[in-house]
Amino acid sequence: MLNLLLAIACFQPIEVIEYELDNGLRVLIYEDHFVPVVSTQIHYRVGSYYEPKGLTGISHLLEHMAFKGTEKHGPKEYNKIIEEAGGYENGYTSVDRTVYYANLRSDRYELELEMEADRMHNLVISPEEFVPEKAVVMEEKRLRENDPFSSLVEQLDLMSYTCHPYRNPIIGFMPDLERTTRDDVYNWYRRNYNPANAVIVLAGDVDPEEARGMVIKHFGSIKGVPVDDMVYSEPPQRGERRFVLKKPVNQPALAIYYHTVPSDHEDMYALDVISVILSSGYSARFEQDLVRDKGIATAVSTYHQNLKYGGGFTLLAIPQQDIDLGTLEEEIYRVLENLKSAPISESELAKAKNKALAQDIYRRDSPERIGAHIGQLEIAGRGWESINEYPASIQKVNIEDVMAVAQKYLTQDNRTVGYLVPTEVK
Amino acid sequence: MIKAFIILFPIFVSFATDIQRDTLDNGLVILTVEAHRIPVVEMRAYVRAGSVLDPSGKEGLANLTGQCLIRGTGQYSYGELVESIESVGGEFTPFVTEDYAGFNGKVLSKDLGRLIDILESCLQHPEFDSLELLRLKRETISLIKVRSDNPFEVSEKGFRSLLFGDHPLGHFPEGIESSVAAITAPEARDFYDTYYRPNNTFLIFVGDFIKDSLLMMLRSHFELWKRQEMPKLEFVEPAPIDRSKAKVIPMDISQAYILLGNFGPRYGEADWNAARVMNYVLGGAGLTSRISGTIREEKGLAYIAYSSFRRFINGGYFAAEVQTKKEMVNEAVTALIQEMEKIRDTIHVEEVARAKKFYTGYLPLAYDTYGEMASIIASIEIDDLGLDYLSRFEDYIRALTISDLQTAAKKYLHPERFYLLIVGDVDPEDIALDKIDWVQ
Repeated sequence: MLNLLLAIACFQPIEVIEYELDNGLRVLIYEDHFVPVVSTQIHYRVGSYYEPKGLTGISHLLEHMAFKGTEKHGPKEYNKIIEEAGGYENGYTSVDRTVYYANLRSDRYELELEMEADRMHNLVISPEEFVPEKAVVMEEKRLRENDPFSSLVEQLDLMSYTCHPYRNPIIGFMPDLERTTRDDVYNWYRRNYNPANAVIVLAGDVDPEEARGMVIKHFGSIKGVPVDDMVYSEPPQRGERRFVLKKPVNQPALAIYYHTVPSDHEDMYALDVISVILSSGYSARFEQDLVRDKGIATAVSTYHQNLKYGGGFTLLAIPQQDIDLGTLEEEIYRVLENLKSAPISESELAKAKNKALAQDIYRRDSPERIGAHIGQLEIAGRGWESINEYPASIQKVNIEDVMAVAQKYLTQDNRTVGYLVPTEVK
Repeated sequence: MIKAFIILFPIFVSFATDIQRDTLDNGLVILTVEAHRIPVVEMRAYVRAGSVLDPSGKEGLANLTGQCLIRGTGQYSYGELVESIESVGGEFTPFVTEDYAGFNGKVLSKDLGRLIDILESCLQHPEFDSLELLRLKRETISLIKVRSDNPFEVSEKGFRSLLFGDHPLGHFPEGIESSVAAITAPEARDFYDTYYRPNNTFLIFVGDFIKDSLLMMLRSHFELWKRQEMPKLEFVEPAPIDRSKAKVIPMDISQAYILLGNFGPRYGEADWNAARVMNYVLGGAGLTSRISGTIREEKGLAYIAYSSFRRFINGGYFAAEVQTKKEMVNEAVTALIQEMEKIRDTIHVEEVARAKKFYTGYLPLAYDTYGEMASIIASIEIDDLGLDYLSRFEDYIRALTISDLQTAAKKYLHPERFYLLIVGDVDPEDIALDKIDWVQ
């Protein structure tokens, strides 16, 4: 317990300045003056979750087109401007958000604000640029198909959700990409990119007053139109689902998904602790038991994801040579059953909590990472304050919670199991 | 704004340039940067004991030796060792590359003593238990198999082997299945005894500590570690490329993974800055580079299209890389060759100006976290650039001329003689290239 108390002693709450412009744009500022660098990020509340049937992947395609020029700046001009300023820029699309960001020296981050305001309002999406860029995205899709693990996880999502949009791949289905037109993308842009559907995060060496002036100057006159949130729910899973995915691989693998809870649910903390106990670091249970002692697995990883409208506990495992997937699966269940039936020790719980807390402290070394975390929490509806509440919530998790939560979610009826197997003997 | 910048700049400069280098009597080099942003210390340990030192037929020996260091020591079992670090939320991971083996570590600063204790134990008192080595071998062979399903890994491995052949850079640190299976614990112990020496090692600490107390701690843990002269190894240089060679590695995938290139600069080469700025223009700058501009932006052939240099102590290479539909291989390869030809002929003033602005402007972003700082210090030490390198970096970049870049392009880019590797369901007959030998 001593270690745990000390780790918590290192945890200082963060301070974030937050406000909203009249047009609905939320602004969050996290100050860190250690180096003269600012990470400027804009998070839009749009991603694969919000996409209509038949147009999966459209948010990601739009993200690509967002680098293809505005009325003011030609294609790639944005990249060149940031590059000449010595900045690093990028964009990414996830289930529930699309993010653009640039890290720049703090004497020039206004550039990125100016460029993002332009991107929010003035994208052109020309047909000439659309055709080759769609081809690029289709190549990106093929890259993923050629990665056996990406294919396995994609199939796992499809089987775990029957009607909820969390089943759709962020990059979309190939036939949907083929059918998506320039106008579809443009309409999607017009519908979703506006101040009322966005969050700006400035993290780093920022003078908040000066930043406010800049944000108002560049975004203040853009009209905000709230976008209705969409609520989908997945009916509770009633019975195990299984599938086999055949690919030309040398190495078989196994994936399991358990439905858990959305991001505002209390049980997520115990689930985070369980994920750490099972697979974080060399001393984790799967590593010590299945990889090392039994020599059954090469690697077992777990990942607990909480989103606004649902969550899941994913497990990926690779068997060692000559171990069949059935044996590996049984051994994984033995480890999970153990978690449900035998109380974990105080020291194991303390270790898991220390790890979770240390990761939160490590993240503060990077304004970009902490900015991304703040944006993610805002979009998920939890608010940046949950960063400060996290240590206390993690600390509250006790031995009984870990057992109870394992018993509640890691059940046979609640799981989907996928086998990746070779199509042929090589 | 200007005012804020002036006030902040000196703080930053002190973080950037205040790299301290101390050497213990036994030759152990200790590089430190004190920083107090968060209560955390990042540590790196580099021992020049990478896979280029694998004896022929023992490919994978350096990797198994480096990985085995945490699998039990004179003081701690593997379990105790990882528990000690992980129970306080710390991280301690072995790594083995072509040139170096060592550890990456990170702890809350209150646990720094614990980290150093573990580091000492692993570097100076590893056990090489044969059962632990057997486990590691099984895990390594499984990982080699997993990687054989990943076309990126297969293509890089294939290209390296085509380029370097029997030279130690021709294999990946993990080795090959058959050689890994044959490695024994006494061999790992011998490798360790030869290369894991203080005069062959440097340590890096960045973060929240007081340097004098850290040095005192390190002295008490490492001053008894015995130095020993390193064996002098001569590597037979791979034969220069006199005629283009190409190879297809068949794989049942929907794209072709293409790598095309030649030998490149190794560490310490005087024209490195010229070479990297030239490559930035050619294929290193992301979407604004020439290769990405042609292959991705203009033709829509690929999601990934770029070029890079990989440098090692005993060699290096240049490679341009594209993944595209198999029907488009010809077009993509032709485009890569044309871009190499073009940049040998012409580099525009605006391109050089933009590249220079990027490199000089980006500098503070390149090491704005403890971890990035530690990585930069490692490359300064490996490349022997001098502790004041970061403060001189902008001058180096500004002094580069178009002619420097063109000289580097002519030296390292050879559109008329190169190695080409393609992974995928591709028939060499469909690729219309003159003056090229296809190899099996």
